[in-house]
Amino acid sequence: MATLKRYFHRLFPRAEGGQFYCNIILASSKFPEILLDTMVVHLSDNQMGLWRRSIDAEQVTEIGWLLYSTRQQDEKRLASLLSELTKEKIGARWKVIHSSTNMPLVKDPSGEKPAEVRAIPLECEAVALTYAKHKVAHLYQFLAKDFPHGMKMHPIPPIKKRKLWTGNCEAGHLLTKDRHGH
Amino acid sequence: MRQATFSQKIGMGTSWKFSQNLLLDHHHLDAEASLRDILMGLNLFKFLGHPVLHAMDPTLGSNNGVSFNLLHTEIEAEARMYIDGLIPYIRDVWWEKYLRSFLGDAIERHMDSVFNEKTKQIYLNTDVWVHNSLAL
Repeated sequence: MATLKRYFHRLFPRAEGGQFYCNIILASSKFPEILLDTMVVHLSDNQMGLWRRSIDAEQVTEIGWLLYSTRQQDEKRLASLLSELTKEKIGARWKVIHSSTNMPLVKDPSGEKPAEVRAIPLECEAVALTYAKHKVAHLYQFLAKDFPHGMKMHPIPPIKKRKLWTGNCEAGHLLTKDRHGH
Repeated sequence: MRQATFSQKIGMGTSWKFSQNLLLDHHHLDAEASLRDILMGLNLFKFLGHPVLHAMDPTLGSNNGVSFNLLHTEIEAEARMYIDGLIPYIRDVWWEKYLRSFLGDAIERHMDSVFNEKTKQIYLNTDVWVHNSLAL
């Protein structure tokens, strides 16, 4: 397991089964789209899938979530616009916001699923996080009047990085404790 | 929480009048602003400085559809008026060069519509004629 985790750090044992997600790095002389189109058919026969990350980098980290983002916004265009303005490689993808309310540890016996809330998180290469974070924050600063392409949004830090009012503990730690039942 | 509240308030409108939605970001030779800049710069009639539209982008999987995001508040009617009356607004307020971004059929259909800059409303020519006749 330790050897496996070295290469697929997102894998973990799950007794109840379900879907697993992990990252792999593929290198090819062909265009990624062509490679994906060829592979996806064969993978789907084995109930597997393959998706391209929003940016091509070995270590990717979250800059934050874009509050007031919508499903109709083109993530690729937004990513290229922000990359052009900040001169850093930035990726964007419409995703579910993971929180204790929309992803509870204990399932509802009635079978009702809580409503999912989605937004666009921004990602960048781990080494460029500090620069990218400040540049994005500058673009969408609180008193700004001109936003990129006139779309008013507000970047908020990822949940792991947010400090709680009750103490110096980070929200991510409490979320992890809650999930493991401590 | 804020995103959840916002998601409930946000609405959507789609326009299929564009000849090609990639022209949204196209900068014409003689103009500094693109069509996106013009439409995102629209301000509310009652609340100056507040934008009419929240966001706009090409509709997913479409060549000529453009999706607009607007708020489900008192400004919704004004936003929907602009979405439906894009052609009269562009033709009467901005250069006709921008009309190349729209379908010929749609432009012909809106020949009778007029945008009034004072009231910020779109009228049919017949409405204007009736209004003028009654005034006389």
